[in-house]
Amino acid sequence: MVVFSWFQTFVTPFVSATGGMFWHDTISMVIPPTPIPIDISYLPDPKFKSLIIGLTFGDVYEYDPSTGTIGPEIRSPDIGVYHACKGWMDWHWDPFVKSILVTNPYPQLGWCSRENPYILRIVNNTDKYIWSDITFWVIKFPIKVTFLGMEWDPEELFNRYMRYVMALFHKLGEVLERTPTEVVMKWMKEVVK
Amino acid sequence: MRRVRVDLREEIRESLKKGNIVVIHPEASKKFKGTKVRTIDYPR
Repeated sequence: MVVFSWFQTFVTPFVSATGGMFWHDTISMVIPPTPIPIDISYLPDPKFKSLIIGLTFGDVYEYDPSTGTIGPEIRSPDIGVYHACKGWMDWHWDPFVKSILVTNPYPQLGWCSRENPYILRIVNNTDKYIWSDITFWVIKFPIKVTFLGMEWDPEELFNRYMRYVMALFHKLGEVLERTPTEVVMKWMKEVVK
Repeated sequence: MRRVRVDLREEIRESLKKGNIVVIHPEASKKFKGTKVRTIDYPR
């Protein structure tokens, strides 16, 4: 799977240490013309706690319900998705236009659960029926994970872990600021030997 | 252009007529919720 450098660097150690499992859900969606947006709650797996790491929007087509025909392809700022994940991603608008549809996978970082589902608010202000597909890239964790002999809510442990990553680099920056440049240069030469 | 399987067409058409969005996935009914959302668990 195509992932992101920040994911490989910082999230992968967390996933590996806590028994996270890679997963994805790919849906087809048929959208009627609708004057009022329609909300869909997505629960990656009610028995797990899930970290959404990416979204892939597929191509978008017109759909003819009378014949079941998919096509031709359509891109339009009148169709799209608002989406949010409370505490992790604020509401924002993704129209089904080229700059959104070709940005794949579209990076995400948000924890979802039965109590905090991932919300899609679907808009179709055209007079056409629309066929589209979306893939949600997910890491799913048990509701409780064990780390260093203790049980944790994985989201809480993840937040703590990320704070420590931040603190580590902050501390490292302080040390480097106090270290003469020639000493830092010597370290770097040793590292790249 | 391609066509949806015959056994799904009618189900999709009826749902769209009621103004519902249709979500198709093997576990759609378990994972997707909403008042105007019709889920079809497919492939079964």
